[in-house]
Amino acid sequence: MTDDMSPDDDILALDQVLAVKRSAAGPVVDVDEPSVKLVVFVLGTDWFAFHGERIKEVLSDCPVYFLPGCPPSLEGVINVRGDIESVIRLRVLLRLAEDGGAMTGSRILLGQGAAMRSGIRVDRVEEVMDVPQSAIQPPPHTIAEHLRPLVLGIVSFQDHMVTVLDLERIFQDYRAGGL
Amino acid sequence: MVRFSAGGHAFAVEARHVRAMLTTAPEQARQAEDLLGLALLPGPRRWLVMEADGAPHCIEVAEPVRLQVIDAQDIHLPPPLLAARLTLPALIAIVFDHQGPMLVLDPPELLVR
Repeated sequence: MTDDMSPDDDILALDQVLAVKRSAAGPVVDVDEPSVKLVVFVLGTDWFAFHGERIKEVLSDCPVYFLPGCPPSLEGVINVRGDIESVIRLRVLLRLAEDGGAMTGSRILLGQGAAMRSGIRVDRVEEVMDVPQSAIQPPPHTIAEHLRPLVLGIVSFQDHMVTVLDLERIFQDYRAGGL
Repeated sequence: MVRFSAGGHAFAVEARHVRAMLTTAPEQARQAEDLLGLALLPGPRRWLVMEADGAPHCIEVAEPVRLQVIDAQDIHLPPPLLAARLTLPALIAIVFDHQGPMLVLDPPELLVR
């Protein structure tokens, strides 16, 4: 052992090295965590999403035929490659404020749930993305009473709180006259 | 099918339910618009004699009235959500062809109300 190698210098150097190691280490990521595909869309200023497996197609420029006897929540029917599908106005079902006719750029999501299929009118589709299951949080207590049965959770996306809706429940309740 | 109009929309019934078409008003007739909850629009009128529950019923409809052969592939069941929430009575099918949608009605259900 040489004169310039004191034990205190060695311990200090090790602490410094370990401190650097700790600060450089990130959180442990579980690569096996299940992810959920979400179709994120907008109604007015509100952001929503459906689970991806519920959405079969996104349609644009599809003529909708009004039928007599349609309530305000039913826009009409569309012809999707020979299949006749209804189109529901999700804004009306969710009791959101009317947007003053901003139909330009709107889309129809072809949704499937509860053994039924229907078009769903939305203002625009923002994104189709995969999120970890853990990113979807329970809905807050402040959510409107009439929406609570329809909400699966909330997730943060691009500084927006996105409400994940239960399409199966929406279709069931709508068919039963509950919405 | 016998195609006719009411309230500006196209409707049809199976031809087997229609016994005759009249061009002048009979003594008694019900307006299709009343039965379907639609607005009465101006224009020429015709009267279809249909049978329901073994009795003849005369229904006043709007022109054009014509016999039309429909391809089976153009006949569709009403989608479930539409069937559940549409307030139009007696709808049993939707015909969708190059002219757009035509609503097929069930005369016994429509007339015995």
